[in-house]
Amino acid sequence: MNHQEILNQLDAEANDLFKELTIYGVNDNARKGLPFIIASDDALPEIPVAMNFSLSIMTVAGAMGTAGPEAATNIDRATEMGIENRLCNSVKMAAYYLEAGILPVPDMIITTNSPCDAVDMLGQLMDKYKPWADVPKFRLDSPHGHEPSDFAYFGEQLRACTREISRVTGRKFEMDRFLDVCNESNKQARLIQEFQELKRAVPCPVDPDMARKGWEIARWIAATDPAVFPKATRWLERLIEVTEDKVKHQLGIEGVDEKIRFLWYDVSPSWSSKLFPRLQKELGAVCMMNYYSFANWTPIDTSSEERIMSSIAEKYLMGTPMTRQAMHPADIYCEDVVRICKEFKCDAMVMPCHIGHRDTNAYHKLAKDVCRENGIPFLFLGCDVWDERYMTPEVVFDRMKTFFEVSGLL
Amino acid sequence: MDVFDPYIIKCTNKIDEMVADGKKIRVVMAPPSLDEIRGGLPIAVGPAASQGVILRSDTFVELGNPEAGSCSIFLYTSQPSLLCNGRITLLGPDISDSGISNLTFDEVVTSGGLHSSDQDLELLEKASHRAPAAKSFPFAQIIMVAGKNLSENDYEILKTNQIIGDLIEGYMVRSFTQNIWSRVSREAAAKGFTFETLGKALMALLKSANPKIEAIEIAFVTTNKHDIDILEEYARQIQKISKEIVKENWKIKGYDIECASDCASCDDKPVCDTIRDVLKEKMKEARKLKNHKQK
Repeated sequence: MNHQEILNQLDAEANDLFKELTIYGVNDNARKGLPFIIASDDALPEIPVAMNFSLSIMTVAGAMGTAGPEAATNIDRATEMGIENRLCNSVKMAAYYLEAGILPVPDMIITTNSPCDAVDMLGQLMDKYKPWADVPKFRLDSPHGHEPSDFAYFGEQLRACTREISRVTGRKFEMDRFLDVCNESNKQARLIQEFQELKRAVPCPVDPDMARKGWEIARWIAATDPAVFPKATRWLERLIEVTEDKVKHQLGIEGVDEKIRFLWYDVSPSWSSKLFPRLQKELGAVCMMNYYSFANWTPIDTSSEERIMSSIAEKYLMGTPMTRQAMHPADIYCEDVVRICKEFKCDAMVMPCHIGHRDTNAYHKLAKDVCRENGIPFLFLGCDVWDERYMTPEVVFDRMKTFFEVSGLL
Repeated sequence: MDVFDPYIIKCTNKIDEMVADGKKIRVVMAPPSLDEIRGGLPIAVGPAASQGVILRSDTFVELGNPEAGSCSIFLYTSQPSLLCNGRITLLGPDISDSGISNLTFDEVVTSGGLHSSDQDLELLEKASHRAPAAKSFPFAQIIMVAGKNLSENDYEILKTNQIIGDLIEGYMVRSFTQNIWSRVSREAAAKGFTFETLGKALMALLKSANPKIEAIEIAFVTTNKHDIDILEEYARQIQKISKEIVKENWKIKGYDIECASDCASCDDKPVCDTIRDVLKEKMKEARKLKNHKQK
């Protein structure tokens, strides 16, 4: 198989697995014979994999729903139900699924305030949802700080959460098994970080979005289906092998004459297939990084039980996309932008200013000023990454094209 | 006294302590002028000096992977007299020391014999550069810069100047914000890349990027994780000061960084407290209207 055939195969495998994250996948997960837990947000796969239960993530199901055929209809239905119209649409979709009664009753609910107020609200909806009144609940309180004391605080909660999961599901928490899973998780993180380094090559050897796919398989899908966890490692290894070979031969993305490299520092939109490939093909503009393809994790420290939990907490709080950018001070966001642009030779920064990201958008001028001081052309959009009706992909394309032209990049 | 002066003294004292503990030390003095520094380097330094990527298979040695221990400290002062300008200190093994340990016994015997001649040694070194990379060195990098006209206003730019990217041939700093995790390529090692090279390259880059810098001193520590952990504690304290500097700089630019608001002090608290009741009423009205329309 040639490079592109291997990449196409990896892509197809990933797309097949992503079905597990949709509302249909959530319903299937409830019937797999494993204890079934629903979390409001991004959850660490190490715990469900080690304890062998299925963990579905509401916000992710909502986000996947915004890419589905009924997306616009369901978003509007959610508004008609009384869900706040200005809410982030991935959360709105998740809230719709909840209020419409199309979610299976879980064995347990885990909610958290991270990464944002919208997900916090979703968690409150889940906690108060009457049909789930008798479902055991656990609340994680994510701190906004990033000191060792914050990681220790969150680590303690994770430990307590595993005890509650054991009580509710009957699944034991075994440290040996957990250690094995953490070591495998470190290996996966290392592979994704390796892919990240390979993107520095000019031209970029592989569509950078493959990092997001690898991340989602290893983190989200593995949480819903623990059997996927070891397969994620092999998927990543195959991705690295083909990418390294392309770097050795100085090959770029097939069919793309790379002219511009840019940073899209937010989530990849659910309508990204209508934007990024067109940017690549028509303008030679390659999106080098988004939140979910930015691998910045500290390894899990397996030297002691105490260190495991607080290092997992650090990984979650400082490495999980959106939690990193939304829960912590603005200087972290700005430093990331400058570092990524310089290290990956980005010619420009695009800040989508997703309408649901009011926390991050509050410092868009800061980010713009920092970019200007560092000679990085900056564009902010004000789009909705989950609802293309708000600002269509065609409008986004035109704005970006104009921006590249005005910046002298085209 | 500048904010980081106590930490410059702390770091230099810590290095002296490590030396007193018997740690292997090597000190080199870089020449004073930029041209002389660049001219003496075995590798290229500057924009596009490197491809930017060093593959795993091309790695001679890794420095500071998180398991081995890693720490990066950057300090500035307006008192050049606090530093020994041009001094590069290495505590622990050098990059070139990694290669020999990579070789198998047979390779050593075949290549180097009993080191009976310079040629044997040369063959041994060449063979070591082809060997797989060693496990990562624990790695701490301490950069201290001084200039009479340096102030807190320069701090953010100074920090940004440390981002290496493709500026040093054969050296790649991984994109990892927590500390410093880097690779040296086989090709660079074969050209004679050592910590002296790295130190001089960093000096050349920093001085070129910021003419206000009058003196630079750099120290590298590759002894063991315990020593790195001690320095990492300093790095954490320095990081706190660093954030305060950034905050003050942004305040000067007009950004309102302080966010001391909470529910108790918010003028909109009464609205928030009753919002659920307001929503219920609104939904009731909306339902009535809908039912009315359907009739």
